[in-house]
Amino acid sequence: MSLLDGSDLRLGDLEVGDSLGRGGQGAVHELRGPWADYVYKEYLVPTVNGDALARLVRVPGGMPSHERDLLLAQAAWPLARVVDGGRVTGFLMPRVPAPFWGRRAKGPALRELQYLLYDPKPLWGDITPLDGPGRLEIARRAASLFLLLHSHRLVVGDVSMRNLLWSPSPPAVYLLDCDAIRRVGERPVLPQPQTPDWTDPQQPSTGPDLDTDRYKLALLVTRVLCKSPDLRPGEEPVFVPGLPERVKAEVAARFAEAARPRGLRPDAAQWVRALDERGTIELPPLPPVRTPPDLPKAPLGGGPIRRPTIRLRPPDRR
Amino acid sequence: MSQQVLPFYLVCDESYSMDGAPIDAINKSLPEIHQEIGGNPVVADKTRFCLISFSSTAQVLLPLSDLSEVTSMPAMAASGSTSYTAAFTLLRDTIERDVAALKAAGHQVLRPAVFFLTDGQPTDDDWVSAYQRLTDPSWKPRPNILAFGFGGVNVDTIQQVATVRGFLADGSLGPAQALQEFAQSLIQSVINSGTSADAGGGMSLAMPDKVPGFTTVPADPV
Repeated sequence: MSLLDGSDLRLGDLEVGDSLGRGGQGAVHELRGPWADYVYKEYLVPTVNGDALARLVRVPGGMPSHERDLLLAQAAWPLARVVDGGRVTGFLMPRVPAPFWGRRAKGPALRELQYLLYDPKPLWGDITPLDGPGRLEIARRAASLFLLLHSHRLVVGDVSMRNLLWSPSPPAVYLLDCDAIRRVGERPVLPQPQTPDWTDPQQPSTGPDLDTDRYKLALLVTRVLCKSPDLRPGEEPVFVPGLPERVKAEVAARFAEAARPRGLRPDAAQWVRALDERGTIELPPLPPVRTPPDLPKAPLGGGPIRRPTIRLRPPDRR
Repeated sequence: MSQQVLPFYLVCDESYSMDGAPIDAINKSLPEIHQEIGGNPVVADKTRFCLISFSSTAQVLLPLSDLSEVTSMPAMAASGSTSYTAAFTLLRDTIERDVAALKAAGHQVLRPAVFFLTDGQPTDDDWVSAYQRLTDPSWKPRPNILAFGFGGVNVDTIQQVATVRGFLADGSLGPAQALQEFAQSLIQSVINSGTSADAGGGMSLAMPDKVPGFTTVPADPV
């Protein structure tokens, strides 16, 4: 049974089970029966843009297969709309894979990014924050995921400490709330929400765009590497131990650049390079351009050619 | 930038009529409130939680705390009558002190939110003056009050106590279940307040619209 053909499911055909959680805009339910590998997000607000949701559902199908696999392994992507009569009530998405779950005393808890931003507490159960190299792996994967999304002109919008999950081994990231993603120039499914401390001071009045995402990616990468919940560009990053000097220097430089005006912030590709294992080769400045000496020049023919005219006699008259 | 914090006060009736299932239900929900809020790093960092109980008198059972730092809290125990005067007087004095202390620590303090839970009509008639002192418009830290009623309380009382929204148990759930729903709505409100931004990018109180087992009633217009 494939969910990637973009067709809608009818609410009446689903066996909706227990509620798994509830947010401001929707509630997530378990499913029983043939769709048990998926969960159903039900919208609790009436103003859902069904066309925008249909476009998101079609995104993976329009990608080359290697990119589609990368996307679906790293994002709870909306795979099919759920409709009731003419009304869009929600959508199906994959369950969050097991490596992204931790265990607290009272039960399972998602390994949200926020656990990498604070000192650990006993209440966190088996969710143990990563060391420097582990954090670097998470930052790399997050930057690569943004690069993939941005290359398809997809704006995440609400980047925050709660909607990116991480797994310790193997290191991996998983993006939640993907129905808040929109393509540049298109309307979102719902107004894109914001999270305190994760706001872009230069966000346009029309809502988040790629440039906003770039700013928030700078926050994400640097806050994870500094274990800080509220560090902002312009402030001096203080990194956790165990990071390569080159990475620290590059991240600090890119982070400072994220304070620049819109359009001049480092993009996802620059973040991928800053965090990359392979490093960069510093190239020395090029020598100054040599100008040839100004010598007298030989004439290259003088002006338009004056051709003589051959006068022809009129033909003989007989 | 100084960090914003949003203080929450759970003010809970423990008069004699709460004995048995209601008190047990609240005592059972306290560890859950602790887990869900204290185990959520950002929410624990941005909110503070205080537990006040009242009957003939009122007492602070848990001083305003970062729940991630708390390891135990006193349980509720039913006894005595229902003095709203005691509750509102202690609440006003506690908020006054807490807000001053948070500001002294460099925080930007948002208007406190009070979840007021009662199961009966007040046994004191003159509680209005203590209430007016708590909600005095010229007192800057006056809290937003959400009032929850079940058992013998009447709708007018809930509307009078609430400043923003009231909830009255509709009888569809037993007291233990209704209080479980109450605790869930408190947890959701705290978590959503700590993690969703308002138009200005700051934190703001996220209130429950509907609570299963309760009817939502508007606060009394003045």
